[in-house]
Amino acid sequence: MNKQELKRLIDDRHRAGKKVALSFCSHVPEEVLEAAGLCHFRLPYMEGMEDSASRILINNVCPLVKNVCDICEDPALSEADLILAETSCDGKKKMYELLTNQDRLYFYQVGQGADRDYVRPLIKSEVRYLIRELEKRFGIAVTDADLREAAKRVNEERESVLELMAVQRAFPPAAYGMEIYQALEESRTLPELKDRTSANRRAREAFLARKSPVSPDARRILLTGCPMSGVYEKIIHGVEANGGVVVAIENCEVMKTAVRHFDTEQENLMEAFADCYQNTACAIMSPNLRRFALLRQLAAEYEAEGVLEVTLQTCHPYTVERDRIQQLCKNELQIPYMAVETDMTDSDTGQLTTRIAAFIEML
Amino acid sequence: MANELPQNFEEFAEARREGFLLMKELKDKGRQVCGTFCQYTPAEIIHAAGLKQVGLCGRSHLPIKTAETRLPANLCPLIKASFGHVMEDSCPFAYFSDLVVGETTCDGKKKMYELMAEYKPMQVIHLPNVPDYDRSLEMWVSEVRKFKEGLEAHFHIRITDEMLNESIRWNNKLRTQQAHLYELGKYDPPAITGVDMNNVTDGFQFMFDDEEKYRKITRIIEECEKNWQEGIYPVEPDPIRPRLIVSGGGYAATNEKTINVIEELGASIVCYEGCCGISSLRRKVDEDESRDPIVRIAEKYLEVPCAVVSPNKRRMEQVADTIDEWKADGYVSITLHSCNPFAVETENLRRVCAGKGIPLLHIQTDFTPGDEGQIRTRIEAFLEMIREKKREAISHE
Ligand code: SF4
Ligand code: SF4
Repeated sequence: MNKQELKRLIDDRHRAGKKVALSFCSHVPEEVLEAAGLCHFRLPYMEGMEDSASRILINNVCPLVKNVCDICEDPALSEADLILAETSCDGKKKMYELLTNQDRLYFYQVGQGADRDYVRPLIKSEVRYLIRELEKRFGIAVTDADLREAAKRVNEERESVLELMAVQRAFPPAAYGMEIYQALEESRTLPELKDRTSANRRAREAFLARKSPVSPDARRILLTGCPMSGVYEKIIHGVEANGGVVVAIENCEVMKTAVRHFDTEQENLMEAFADCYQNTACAIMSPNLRRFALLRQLAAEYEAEGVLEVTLQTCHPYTVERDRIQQLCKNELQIPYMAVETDMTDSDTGQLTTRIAAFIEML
Repeated sequence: MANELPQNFEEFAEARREGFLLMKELKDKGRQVCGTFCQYTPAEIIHAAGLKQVGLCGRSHLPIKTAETRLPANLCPLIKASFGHVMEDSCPFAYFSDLVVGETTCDGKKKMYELMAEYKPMQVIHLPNVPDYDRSLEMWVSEVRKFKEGLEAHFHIRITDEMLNESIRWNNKLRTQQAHLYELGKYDPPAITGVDMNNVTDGFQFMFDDEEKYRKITRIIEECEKNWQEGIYPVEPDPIRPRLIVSGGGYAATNEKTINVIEELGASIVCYEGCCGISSLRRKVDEDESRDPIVRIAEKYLEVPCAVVSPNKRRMEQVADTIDEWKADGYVSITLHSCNPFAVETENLRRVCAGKGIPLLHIQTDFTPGDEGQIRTRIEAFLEMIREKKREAISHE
């Protein structure tokens, strides 16, 4: 998605009488935004933004954080009604504090772990505060019934992502990782959840209906690492042009988010929120046991032959966690592992491709 | 006129090195030691438990190479040095620590602690991200309580409310004293140099006899004040001498190329601002013993104005107040390479300073030599600009 498209979507939603919320992280409870009747986008890396980051931020900060800064400052997107400023990584949360329009922000608090006593009560109370805030800001009421209905739609969308990814379990996988990635990129820019769900389902059916283009010899690669929207292209291409195929993408934009399920039958909705969001395998969590569990699960289900970890040089949570992920792959999963570091530019494509090719060769 | 300094300054400046020996003596006598990294560590609880507390923040570039075998290169040198020391067993304080206490402050540190736990017994306290009473006090109380229980379990002791109450009173007294030390900078010329002020506040972390330490600092404060009243100043009175506030994160190891140079070039650092800045020191733990001491301790620490919380409005207020009260002409923010919280937040400090009509200098550095010349040049230019402003202001009077 580029900014003109997003601007058009925002204007369009406004004409339909809807408010638009932007968020940038899986910790933000989508069920609440959906139940409040907002059109909500969790934005990927956006091209073509006006540069504000170089004026506001230090240089050595994550390119995703810079991009979020640009998005929030860009005059073309000034009509978005709400920005969810989640306190996930240092760079992002401190950047939010510097944005010009603070009134449009809401700081949503993310805990620092998944397994401490305080975590569930914190998720519950933060969800309640968020609901109250939306009710106040937009003069609406969010009922339990609204939340349940919304959660069903969110669940369906998550399941559609899981099912789409699951076509890769086959031998050979039903599609190139690149095709899956592109299908997801497209569906996430649709304004309504149900449309995103149907688009994912259609893509899945199309993949299943044809003969797989993937060679049976292609090495099965599990991708993991930083949220990477913006760098997937060159990475996946590096894998798939060199005798590999991406079978699963653990990253935030794909599996991390989609594996979470919200129990809409649960009597106490707040407990359901805690169950769902406690299960976010994010490196902000210390320790991030869920990610280890998720990688174990994906490596088995997708019969991965290699794990490729991609990190951004400036991302401290993921680059520090790398050591333990490497241990996991080496000592426990006994799957070959390689880590590469990259950025948003294309300047390292050649060198990355060489390394990825060598890794796949070795498998 | 400038004159000789109170005798004790040397002692504080040397305290860290001397501390190694003192610590060994303490250990030989069977005392137990808690290594810490951060102002968020509730000192009251460690003190109540009868443990000695010592700061473990790395200050040397030497262990960084070792650390980089497990940590990424693009990470704050303080984190790498601290971790490298533990890997190598090259820091006596870390070596002697029976328990290491960390907090989930910045991303790099909190993730590093997961690795450090492979080498040392550790307890990590989780901090709230939003420093708001309504939204975060409950979780924070739960973490502070867990920490107290963790100490009890680790050291097989019981920490009673009486012990906590006594420790609260003592630590409040120390805070009052430290605030008093900062107040010496309000005089014009200041009654203490910024370098000495820092030597004292940094050095006393490595002195382990509480009563004696308290007495020594009291003596320093009294002497400085007396000298000033008698017209004996640490620097010559000079109407255009820049009065600066310094703050930042983890820069103790860079003093020689930063704060020392600032004063050598003729400015005065009149106060330090940051997590142990003045409003933080003035904010005491409530001494109302009818209330749960853990809650009272948690309340105080929730207000630590550190760059790791968002939105950090308390710090912006502290900066504004410090500029006014200390009549500062300029502000220097020293941050380490790859430190997001303090470096990103510096932009907000710049805005507060701009609102007060004073300039801000942001120095980004690390523990390796090589950038001294460039830093010195920038400081020189910054000071000259302030002097020019002051000259002009005087000529308009
Ligand atoms: S990795 Fe964690 S902090 Fe980053 S976007 Fe995903 S959930 Fe948010
Ligand atoms: S200086 Fe910054 S990055 Fe380093 S430990 Fe402190 S807060 Fe973390």
